[in-house]
Amino acid sequence: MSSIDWMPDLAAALDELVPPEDRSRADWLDVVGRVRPRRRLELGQRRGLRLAIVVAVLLLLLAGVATATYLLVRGPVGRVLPLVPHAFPVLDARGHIREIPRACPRAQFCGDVSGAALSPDGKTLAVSTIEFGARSTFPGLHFTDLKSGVDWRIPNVRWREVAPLRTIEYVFRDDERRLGCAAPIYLSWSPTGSSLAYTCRGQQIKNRGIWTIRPDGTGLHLTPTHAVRAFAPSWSPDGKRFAFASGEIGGHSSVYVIDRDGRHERRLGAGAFPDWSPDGKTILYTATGCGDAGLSSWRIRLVTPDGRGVTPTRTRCAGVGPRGSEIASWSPDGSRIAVETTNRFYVMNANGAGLERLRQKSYTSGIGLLFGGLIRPLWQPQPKGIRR
Amino acid sequence: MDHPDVWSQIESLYRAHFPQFVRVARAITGDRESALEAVQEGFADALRNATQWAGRGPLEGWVWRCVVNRARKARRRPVVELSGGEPSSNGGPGDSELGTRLAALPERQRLVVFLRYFADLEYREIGAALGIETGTVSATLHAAHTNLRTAFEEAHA
Repeated sequence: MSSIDWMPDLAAALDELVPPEDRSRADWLDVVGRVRPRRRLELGQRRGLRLAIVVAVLLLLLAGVATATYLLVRGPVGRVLPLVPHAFPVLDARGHIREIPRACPRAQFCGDVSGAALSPDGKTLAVSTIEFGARSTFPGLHFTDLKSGVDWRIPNVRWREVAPLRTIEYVFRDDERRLGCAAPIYLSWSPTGSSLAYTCRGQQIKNRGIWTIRPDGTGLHLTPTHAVRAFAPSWSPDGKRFAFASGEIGGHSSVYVIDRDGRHERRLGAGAFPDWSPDGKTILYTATGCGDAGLSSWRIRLVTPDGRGVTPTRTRCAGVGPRGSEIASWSPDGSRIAVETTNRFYVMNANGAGLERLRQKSYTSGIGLLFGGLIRPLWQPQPKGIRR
Repeated sequence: MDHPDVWSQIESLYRAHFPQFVRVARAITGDRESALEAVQEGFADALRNATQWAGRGPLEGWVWRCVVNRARKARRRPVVELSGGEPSSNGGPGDSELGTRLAALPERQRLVVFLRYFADLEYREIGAALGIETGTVSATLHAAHTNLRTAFEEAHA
């Protein structure tokens, strides 16, 4: 049988399977009608997409502005912060500097800062001011609760403007001797934040030593020192001892450790501005005893509390950190050291390696020595749970 | 080619070959209403995506593909249920038996047969409709013929 013999049967079979259709059901308008709603939907989808893109761009812009604002407020590395009298720059855990405002009755009368220290919990800033020149600067301790902005002073004072010069005259409302002296300098918080240690400028025999006082003005206590003109105290982490310097600020001086009750005073070496590490094992200080080489030869030296060198030193003036180091401080976790020179800040590892120069200017720009008020670089305490 | 031209060509196809489209769709879906719906939606798809065609291949084959795809989606029961019906008037070897064989063909063979004899499409257009090469259309159609002829010869043996 040839192939064509069965073809009519195939056509018939196909017709049997699917009967022929007529054209009566054809409806082109129905087809077009099915297209248009979808087209309108697609148009709506395109509009939605455009709206989503606009919203995304706006969100990105908002995020950019927020990030810029955050960086501006936080003060990233590289931002130059001038020393403003009504604000204090503070190093955070990463070595960045941010400002902490300090309440002042008049900004121009807050400039004579002789010491500053941030409480271990980072909530309270203590600042000491000295009377300089005319009686226009409050001499004493000035505390600021950084969260609430509430500030208070020891001794308690009020001030009034004196017309027509509009200068300020302080009127003491309680005994101005309640600090033990008129001009506290070099502040150091106790490890628990319950007390503040300081020394007095222009010490007399009767007030020679390290003073401590609670932030509420009670508990005044003197740790007497045999060394004359003690300055720059630093608490040991257990709160039982102090490291301090004694001698001529910016000149010949030595670093000592002493028990809080005044016993076991021991000299560690020639230098100044000691700072006790958070783990209690190391004391850093500025090695100043380098003869005529002057400030440019100053370095940071690391010693144990019993006076043994931690960093190998080949010569008397050897040390770590940049040349011209003036004052340094440990980070709260003890992993890093911030160093201030005449006009720069540096951050380095605890062993002196990894020296990194920050671009912002120092707090004091060299005038600190003139007023006897170098300030240890202030570290922002780390939030709990964060470890570097 | 502008979109209005494509639209008018698609409309012409619809008006000229509507019965063939419905029959092929019915061969796939198994019932008439679904086939009608598949044709309408298939043509709507063709209009909606007219810009995607862009002159690639025969337009008729592309429209067939739209309809076939819609019909495949709408298929609710196997096409073999189409088979059956009364014996043909000429008696003999039985067209219903051939119809059963047709329905039992593999889907591609069955579709090629329908597109060839219902829609009267050229091999190239069938290939475009099913997304296969022209040579594959030829081979598939030959295989379908062989299967059907074998069934026919066995019935007359």
